[in-house]
Amino acid sequence: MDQAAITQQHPARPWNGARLLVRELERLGVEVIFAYPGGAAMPIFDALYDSKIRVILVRHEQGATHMADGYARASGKVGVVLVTSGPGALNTVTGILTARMDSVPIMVITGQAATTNLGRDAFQEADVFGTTLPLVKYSKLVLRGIDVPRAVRDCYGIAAAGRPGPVLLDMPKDVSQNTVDLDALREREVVSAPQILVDEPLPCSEAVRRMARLIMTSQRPLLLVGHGAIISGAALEVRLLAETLQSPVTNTLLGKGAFPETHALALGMLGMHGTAYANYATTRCDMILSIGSRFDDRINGDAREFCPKAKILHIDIDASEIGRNLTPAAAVRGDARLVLRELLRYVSRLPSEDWLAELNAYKRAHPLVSLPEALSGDTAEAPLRASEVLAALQAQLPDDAIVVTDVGQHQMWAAQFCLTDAPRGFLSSGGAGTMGFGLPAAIGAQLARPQSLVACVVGDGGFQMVLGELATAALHRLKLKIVIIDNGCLGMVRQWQELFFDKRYQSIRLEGSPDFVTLASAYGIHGLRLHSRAALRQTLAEALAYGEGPVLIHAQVENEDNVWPMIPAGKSAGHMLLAHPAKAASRVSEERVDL
Amino acid sequence: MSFSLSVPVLPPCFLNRGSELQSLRLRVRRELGVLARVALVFSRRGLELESMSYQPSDHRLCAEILLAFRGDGEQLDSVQRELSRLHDVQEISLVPQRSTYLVKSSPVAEHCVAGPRPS
Repeated sequence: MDQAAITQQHPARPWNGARLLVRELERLGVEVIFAYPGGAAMPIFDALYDSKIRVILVRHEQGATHMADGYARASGKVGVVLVTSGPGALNTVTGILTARMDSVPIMVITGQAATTNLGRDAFQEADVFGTTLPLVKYSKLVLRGIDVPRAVRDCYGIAAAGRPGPVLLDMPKDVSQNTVDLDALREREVVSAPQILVDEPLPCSEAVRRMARLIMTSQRPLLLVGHGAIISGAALEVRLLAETLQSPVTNTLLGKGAFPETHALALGMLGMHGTAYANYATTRCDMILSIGSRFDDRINGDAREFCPKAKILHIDIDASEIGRNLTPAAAVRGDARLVLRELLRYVSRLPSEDWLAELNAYKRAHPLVSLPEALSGDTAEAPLRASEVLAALQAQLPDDAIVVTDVGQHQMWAAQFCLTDAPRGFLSSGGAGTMGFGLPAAIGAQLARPQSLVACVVGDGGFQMVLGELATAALHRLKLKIVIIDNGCLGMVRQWQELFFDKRYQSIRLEGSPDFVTLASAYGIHGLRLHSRAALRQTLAEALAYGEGPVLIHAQVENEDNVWPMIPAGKSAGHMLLAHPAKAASRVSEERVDL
Repeated sequence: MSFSLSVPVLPPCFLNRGSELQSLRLRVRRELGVLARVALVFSRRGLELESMSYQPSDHRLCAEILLAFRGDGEQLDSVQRELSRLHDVQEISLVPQRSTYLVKSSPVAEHCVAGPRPS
């Protein structure tokens, strides 16, 4: 019996909280929900039966939140998650943290024990509202059916407005299930206070002019673009500003794509594993303007020594970020795009020729290398390196591709070698560093942008945390290119144990991992083995051309490889290591950046 | 060759600094969890509250929170910015030192008296 016929048989389904919830989501334009059902959420799933909203059934609730997150990052829309109470709800916590740290708009709807059972330790009852209070941007425990539509609108609106973030809507089962008095609802909708309005004031023009005056005194300018520039859609304005000023631009991990990384003024990513030249620029600039970045510890290393010669200027939509990590000489609170448009009226070309020449010389002297020099002579026998796999992948990716990564060494190599020219072209868990993010986020990104090629770069560790979602990818025949960078260990932890814990390796060998290609085939996914340098280009080309659904490339790479450059945690850019200290101790000390 | 893994010796961002008593008055929406949200701004930063009171307004839609903690001006500044991020917090004002105290003489709101503490 098809759905239309069933709906015909039940023409008079009552208006309950669940139906009101689903109707409100439809009105808000929600097209996809990432979901996993359970007892307390059953009325909502029942209401979805009659809806046009596409429900993606996942294999684990954490996967659902990362999918919604990837969907939101790739599209700019709010990603919606629906799960049941108790364990279902608490399995979303990691995804909520991930979205919170990276300012991603997701809305998590959780089933809850009936209001009559709240606080009785009822079956599958968990205080998810209380649990997530420190993480969410906003949350709401709905206690009456007539409050549902407004709660949905408030949560959805707050998730997307200003600095985006995760919101949670907790729906007790009786609120979902019980019939709502529509007359009372109409009255409630009329008399209830207007929706929570999120104030979005225009940037203060005096503050902008003050910032412009400081910019115009600079001879060694540096622009730092972060996720905020992408969220506000400021890519054009960032480019205009950089070209007008003739200022070099560096970006954070999440800011990749806010300014084209192949542009002549681009320095690429800065920070702990940023390029040598971007970090060098921070030690020498006389002005740094952050556009939607929060100067976090992976960027500043040591807040006291960050950009020691520079005036710090800060544009951020979130007033609480201004002055949180560094004290700026001038700051403007506002949407990056609006502030830059205003700022562009007051600035002009800076005398930065010598500065650009200095940076270009440094860049030529210390480029990123995908293949260590020691190997470049005779490479036939040496094991494949993760960095060269990613450099080769980059060379074959089309312009509108989206690279989604997991967390660890491969993430840093992807950030270094998969240069990104367009916003929303590189998705990664930055603030939270959530292993297991990559595969589900790539699924969400592919659903948001079905026409784009999505390359999902993961390590053998993070991938195994969420590999059940292979079924989700296979079921929906998503044309994901899953590249597993398999070094047989937890590479970043291994790197730290080697450098900072006297090589006392503990709990890093991932013994017992499956044969990933056989695993893929068990899910009906096409798998390719990549074990040699000779086969690199052809294997990647074959994978990118495959059009029948997901394809998994198992890249077996060197186990003991390290990400360079590296600024040790808590140290300033002056302590940057360009290569392994033991193998090139003298060279490193010579090459320590002169402060 | 090995490096020490050092954490920079920065002054703690928060933790109560100084002995100056800072008092704030918040107007908040009367929503479930609002008291917890406000308290969490302090506890997650290692800031101890000296006092906190909650009083619904007459029209039941909003409430007033009075709170005090020991800290310096910079901490007061950051705390205000963090509190302003909370959607249920509508207004934040400073309570000048030694000028205004809330004396709760009765559990009923109408009987709250603001004024110098009787000696």
